[in-house]
Amino acid sequence: MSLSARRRHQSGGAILLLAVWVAAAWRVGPALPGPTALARATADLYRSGALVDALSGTLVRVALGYGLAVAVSFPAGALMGVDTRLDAFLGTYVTALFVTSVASLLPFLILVAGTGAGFYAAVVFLFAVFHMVLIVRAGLATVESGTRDAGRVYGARGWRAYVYVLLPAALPHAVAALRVGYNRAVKGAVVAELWIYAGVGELLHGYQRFSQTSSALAVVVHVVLLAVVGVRLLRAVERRYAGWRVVTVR
Amino acid sequence: MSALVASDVAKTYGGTRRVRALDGVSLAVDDGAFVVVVGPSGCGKSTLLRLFAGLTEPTAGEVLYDGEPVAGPSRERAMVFQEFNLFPWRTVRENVTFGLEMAGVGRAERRERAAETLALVGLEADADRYPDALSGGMRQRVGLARALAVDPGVLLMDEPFGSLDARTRATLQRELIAIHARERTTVLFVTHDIDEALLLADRVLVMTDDPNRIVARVDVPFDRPRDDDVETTAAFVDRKRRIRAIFRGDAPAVPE
Repeated sequence: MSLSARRRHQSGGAILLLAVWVAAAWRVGPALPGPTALARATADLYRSGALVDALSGTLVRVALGYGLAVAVSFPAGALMGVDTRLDAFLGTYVTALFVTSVASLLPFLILVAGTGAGFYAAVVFLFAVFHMVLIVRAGLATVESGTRDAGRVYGARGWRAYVYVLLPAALPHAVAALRVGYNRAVKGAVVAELWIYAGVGELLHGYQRFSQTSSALAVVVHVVLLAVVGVRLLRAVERRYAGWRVVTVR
Repeated sequence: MSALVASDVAKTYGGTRRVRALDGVSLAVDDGAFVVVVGPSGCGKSTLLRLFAGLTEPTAGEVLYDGEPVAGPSRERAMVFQEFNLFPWRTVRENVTFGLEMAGVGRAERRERAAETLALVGLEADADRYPDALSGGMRQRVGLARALAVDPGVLLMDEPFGSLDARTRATLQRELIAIHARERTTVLFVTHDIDEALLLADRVLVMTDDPNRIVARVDVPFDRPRDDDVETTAAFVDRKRRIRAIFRGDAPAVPE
């Protein structure tokens, strides 16, 4: 699909969504706020400073766990992608945890790590790290044999093959891992906060208790923006530095 | 002296269902010669090239370069691949100088060598572009420049023009003839295209499948430099007919 056609469809989708939203809000009544109620609630949240405080706390928690996930997943995935013994050793566990619902581990994590910064870091880390390991591993493992051959013929052997051929060839996957990992990290932070009644979670629980649906929706919209803006920025990095291969991860 | 020698080489792949990719192949390529191996898909001609490149090892027999057994890849035996196998994260210049960089050659010398080889393949103006921005023909020119940049003893060319359109293929064939005339690099080239083989080669080795071996040697006496007109000569047509007959099994094979 051409870019202009895609933009047309996107605009069409947005207009349709807006129309459905307005109609539903009108039909449901106060339980579902419309666009104007949402705008008013957003303005109030900014005035009170509650949203900025909560979101900055969330961002710090994301940064901590996500940073840790990057630090672990990149070397682990990069080694698993080329070392079949290490892959056999770790692969089963990584895949098992990848398909496990991390949310189901939260009660256990509270018992182990308490409810402080360590808990948030652990949850965000666990949400992001397995996806990232598997994507980075796939990046290394799927380097085409022809690319490896060209490297070998022209003198890239041993560590040189790794540094000059395999790692650069896996760059598109590395950036995709950053993107997917960030998305997962934001989800993890919000889930953790909902459990502990902190940050964004505290706001959402409070608004739910007092039926302030427009304020709750305003918070949700900002969480979505936090994820979308980060992913968009990483997509721009992807296009700039790894545009030769588009890695699609769902 | 022969730059490349294969003596009774066999190569078998696989475990339980073993595939004999090469079955007793012997050949010699003299210094400075342009030898083309022509054969159908699956006859093992690419495997033969990979053996000389050191990318795989023979199951039996011996593969020599300059009188020494081939042990692993070397820039002395540079390869040009059918699928180009350029590095998309490197510019044209960085692709061309990859082998030199691995050899520890300094930046200034690399740039100089890149300029020389890119001029040879007509891509001086494209040094800072990325492979993605190039046509198939241009990419293969980069592949050829990358091989020439390391000043190899032999050029191993694995159906290098096989994925190009007919016009680009013809242009690159002419350019390769001109480059070989200038550089006098030894070339072992594999193709399934009989016309291409006869146009380029000093000698054509005909391979067949089942068994996968060289069954005939056809010397190509046409003067160099050659152009397309050679394809219409009686000698060319006669040789083409002979090779076709060998492929069909209608002609007696003439072992080398």
